[in-house]
Amino acid sequence: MSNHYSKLAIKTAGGVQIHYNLAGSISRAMALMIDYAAIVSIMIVFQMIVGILLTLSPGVALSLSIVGYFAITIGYGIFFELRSNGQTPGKRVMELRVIDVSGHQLEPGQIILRNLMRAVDSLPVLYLVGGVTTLFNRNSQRMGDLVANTCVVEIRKPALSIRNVSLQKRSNSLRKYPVQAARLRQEIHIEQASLILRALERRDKLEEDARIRLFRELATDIRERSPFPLEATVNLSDEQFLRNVLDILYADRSGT
Amino acid sequence: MILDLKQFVQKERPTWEALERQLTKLESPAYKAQGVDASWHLRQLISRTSSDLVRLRTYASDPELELYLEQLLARAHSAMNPPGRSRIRFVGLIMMLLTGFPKALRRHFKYLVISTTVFLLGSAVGGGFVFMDSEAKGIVMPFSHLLQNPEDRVADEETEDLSPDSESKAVFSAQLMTHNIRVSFFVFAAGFIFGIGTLYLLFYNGIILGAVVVDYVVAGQTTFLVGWLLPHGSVEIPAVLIAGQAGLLLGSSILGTGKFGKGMSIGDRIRFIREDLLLLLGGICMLLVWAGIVEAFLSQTHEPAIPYAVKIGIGLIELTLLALYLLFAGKGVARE
Repeated sequence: MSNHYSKLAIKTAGGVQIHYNLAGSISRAMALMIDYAAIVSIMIVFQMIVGILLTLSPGVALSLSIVGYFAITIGYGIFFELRSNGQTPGKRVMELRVIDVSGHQLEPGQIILRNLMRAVDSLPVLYLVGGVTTLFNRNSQRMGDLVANTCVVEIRKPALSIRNVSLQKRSNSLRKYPVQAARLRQEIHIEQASLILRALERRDKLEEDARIRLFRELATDIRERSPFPLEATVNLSDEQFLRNVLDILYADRSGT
Repeated sequence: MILDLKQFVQKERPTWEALERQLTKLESPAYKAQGVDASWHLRQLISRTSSDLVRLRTYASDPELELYLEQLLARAHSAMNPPGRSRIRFVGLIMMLLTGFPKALRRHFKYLVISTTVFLLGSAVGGGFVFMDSEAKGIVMPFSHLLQNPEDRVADEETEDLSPDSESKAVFSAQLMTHNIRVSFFVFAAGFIFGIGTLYLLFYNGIILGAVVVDYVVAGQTTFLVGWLLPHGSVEIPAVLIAGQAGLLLGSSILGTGKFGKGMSIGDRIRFIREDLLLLLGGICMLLVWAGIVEAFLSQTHEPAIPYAVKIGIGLIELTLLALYLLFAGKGVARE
């Protein structure tokens, strides 16, 4: 149900829309399991320390362990989300993060509220209430997220890479027809051009059969709409034809 | 028109990388505000990167690069919109809580009245049950020691020295505090369902208290009862009522019946009361820590050890101080 809205769109001050991928319920559940495991480990270490105190003063040790249990179960999420900018260890492993719905920096109050609301979200078992709530609102928010105006998104770190395709190995026979070339530029849509570009980039990763089939498919469509006279294109292999087309589409525009 | 991506990236890359460096600096916890020039430079970088993204989307199609620019701008957007309040030190936080809590309580007094009324209604119902049919308490009472006949219990408590040593009192006190705080948080959070959950919990707890009170009063043990309940109840019961207040405030905000309603998302509506909710919850924690200490160390010790008059006196003093604090603290201090 929530799949219609798997993205959160935010408009920045610069008037640009940016998008976040909302976290899916599976990855959120995984993050939760990891966090549970972390809480249990912290509790074990804590109990070991309290165990040492037990020999000195059982009353103090027991009270400490009660207060400690309370503080760790309630404070775990708050502490880590405050400290690491909306990420508990589980969320970090699953590459998730809590963000403000409008993309602003999180306020401590938001983090505290969304974590206190776990009291109802986790009801009756395994975050059933929270999980069902995520299905019925556009940003996959559980009750705590709705109250705190937050949502959980995926974070990926894309690397900045410069594409490297050599377009012009040989002279381009299509350049002899400047008028038709100009029409081609109008005819071919950006998405189609970038599809061809990416196909050419990956040519060496494709099996030979697949490559020939792919380039034939891409080329056939363009050939059909191509304004060029037949004698200019008929002798070119599909791949060479596509390279020439891309060359026309991209390389001519120096400085635009 | 189609963009020459390679050239585009080569030309714009320095801008993006400069922005990335600036953001990394901004995001580090040790960051100190820079001068006007620096922030002007940052804005320039952001607006150039923004226009790059628009150009890329319009004149080319490259999902990877688009994602890179989007995430860069998302970071910038977040960095340029920091929380309203700067980081507060621990002492400042306590001071804010001490004056802010009663002020928040008075700001939303209406909901405290509702919460108290519902609780009292519950008490009347619970008391009525037990008054009409003393067997009814078997259904209402949650704790086994309350099922005992009041006369027997008072006799037990006053003859035997059941008073535990101070170490077990500390444990009991810790249990009470954490349990009560958890319950209060739950009373608050249950308000999400338009306040219904909160109303139910208030009513239910009212029934129990009403039943206990009537049970002891009918048995002629009023002095014991007041001496037993008043020292901690004078703080604990208000804390539960305030949790109810917070829950109802939340519920009404979700319904959109509050001051801020129409045409806003739930999150936006709650943003206006977020600070007040937190102040109320923080105040409840303070009260319940105190109540937990009193309940374990004073309430469970009975007559020969401590005269009832002393216990009742302490309870009344607490109640008066609490009322004065909640009604007058922070008055005259302007809201920040």
